[in-house]
Amino acid sequence: MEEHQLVERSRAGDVAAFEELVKRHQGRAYAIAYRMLRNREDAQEVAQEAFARAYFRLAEFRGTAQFKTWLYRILVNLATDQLRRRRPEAPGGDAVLQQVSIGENPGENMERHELRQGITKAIDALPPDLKTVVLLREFEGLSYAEIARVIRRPVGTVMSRLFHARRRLQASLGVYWEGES
Amino acid sequence: MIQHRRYRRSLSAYVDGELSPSESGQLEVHLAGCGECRVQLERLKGLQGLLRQGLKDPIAEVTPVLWPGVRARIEGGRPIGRFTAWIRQIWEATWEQPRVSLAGAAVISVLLLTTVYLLRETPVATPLGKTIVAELKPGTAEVVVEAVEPELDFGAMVLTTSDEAEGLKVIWVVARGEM
Repeated sequence: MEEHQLVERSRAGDVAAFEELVKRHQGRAYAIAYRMLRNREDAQEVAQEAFARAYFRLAEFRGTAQFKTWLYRILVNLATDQLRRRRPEAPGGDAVLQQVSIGENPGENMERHELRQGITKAIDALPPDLKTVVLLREFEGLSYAEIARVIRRPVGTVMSRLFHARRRLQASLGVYWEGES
Repeated sequence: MIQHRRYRRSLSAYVDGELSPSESGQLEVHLAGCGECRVQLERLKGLQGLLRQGLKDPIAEVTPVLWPGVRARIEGGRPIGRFTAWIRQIWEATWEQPRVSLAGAAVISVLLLTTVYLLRETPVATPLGKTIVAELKPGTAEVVVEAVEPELDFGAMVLTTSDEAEGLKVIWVVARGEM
């Protein structure tokens, strides 16, 4: 069934249609929430809350935008609120739970693990506004226009935030940087 | 120099393929002659690769089943807004602490009484039957107020007097406090 039909049915109170929408989008929604919050429980909580709010607000959804970008807007707002509520000294992430798979090539895997931790740390150090645009661009592959719709800002703001975010990331990831070049 | 800075800022959008063909064309002309921007472009491409390679996070890609939690929220009814939640929180906190609730009630009472006192209607003596000095043609004369429309919306009152010389009824619009 087409997505707009599912939206229409959900709007009419068809919960099964909304369940299908959740199943289609839960993977990306959870990944965004997790990458923003770095905590599985918080990410699950925020993603579920975003879907529930989307359900109750379906009357406000206009078919001009994609359901995905509309949902991401709700999700990103909830995750940003959560990030701002966290005290700086309590990042709330569960990096401790990340396991290093030793596998057949321990040296390479350790290096990749270290790289991932470095990148995660650098992204987590960004202010929520910059972090959001980087995640939506680099990991979700959204266009500037789509990001603008999610964060409700002009495309110029998206461009500017990405520019500043990348400058900061370049500075903080310098050590990996030199290794790459 | 300003142009150089502008081009440098647009490199990030260029890497993302978000510049228009004409903007890309102009930037490429600049890149051909600017070593600093070429280095920066390579760094941006490297950063992009690094991010995509480094953030293949297995935890983010293992999605828990969200539907039962979403369904429970839907069945629980529309979530309350932040303001309502805030009021509820205050209500619960004060309910649990009688001293706080008593103090709160006292403050609210004082505020209410002060508001009522400040907004109370100031009694206005009706000028009905009162003799007033009015400017009537050809000069001033003492006239008696015969009728009063108490108040208009903008705080004025309408008085009616008679001008015996002209044989006319005169209607006065008087601002409150002028009498």
